[in-house]
Amino acid sequence: MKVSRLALLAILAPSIASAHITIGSGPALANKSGQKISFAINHGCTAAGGAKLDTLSIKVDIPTGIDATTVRALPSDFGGTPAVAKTGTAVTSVTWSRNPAELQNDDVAYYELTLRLKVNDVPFTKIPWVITQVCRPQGGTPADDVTVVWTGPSTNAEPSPNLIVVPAHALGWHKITMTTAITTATDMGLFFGDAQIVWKGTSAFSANSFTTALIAMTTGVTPLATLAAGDEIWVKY
Amino acid sequence: MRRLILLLAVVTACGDNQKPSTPDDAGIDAAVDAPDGGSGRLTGCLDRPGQVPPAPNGQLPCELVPPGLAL
Repeated sequence: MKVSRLALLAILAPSIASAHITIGSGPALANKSGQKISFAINHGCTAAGGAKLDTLSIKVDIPTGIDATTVRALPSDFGGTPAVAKTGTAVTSVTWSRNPAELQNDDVAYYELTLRLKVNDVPFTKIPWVITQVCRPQGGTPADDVTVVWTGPSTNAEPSPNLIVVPAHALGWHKITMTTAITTATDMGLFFGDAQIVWKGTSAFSANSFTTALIAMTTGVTPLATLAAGDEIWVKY
Repeated sequence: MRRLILLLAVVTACGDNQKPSTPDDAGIDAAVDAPDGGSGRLTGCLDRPGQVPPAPNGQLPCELVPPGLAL
């Protein structure tokens, strides 16, 4: 009975995207202009009948947390000149569209699309991006298009890619007062992935497994798993 | 005659560049190459890329302990 329901769901589903769209450029620095954010289009779409489709267009909505007046779209060999939608001086979305004649007859290509922008002063946050992906079979028409909207949390089937925002930093020690909490070990690794070590009092965290082992072995030092807003920390990058 | 004496004097002053260095010469070369003038006291700061790093002692190294914290 369960198998029958699953089969029914598979038939009714209009389309699914094969794999997540991700941000391939890594964490962004807070309050720093001129940064390039690249979106990795890892796969095309799967049509209702199971056919694998190439990507025809990608639309990226500019989210809160980005200084929308600073957004500039890089032309790409994916879609040539991007279409930029604005409200006043603020960019609201960027769309890259391909020539349909260049579509391949399978999902075999990987694309990267890039924006140059300034992230607002929001360190230790994750900025979700809503992205609309349109796929089309080779030789197809708009009636054959398959649209996937990447939105919502990671528990969604097609979640938004998140931009990790970290404080701007140089190599060496930094004393930081947390403006937001970090509540999971996974997020500690995301936000401090390029730090050698993080200290709060005599508790320490490192994304490096060897340093983590040294933390556990050092007398007087306890592991640091989470942080609260207002915590004062030392970070060595 | 004066020209011959002058020529001999020039040859003697130039010396022979092909002869092996004496211990005194080596000392002079070392003094030129070494940052402290050849005394050998500052050699601890020299990089030695081929040297094996010391084994960890199971404690966090001092460079990973923040300013002001004594463990």
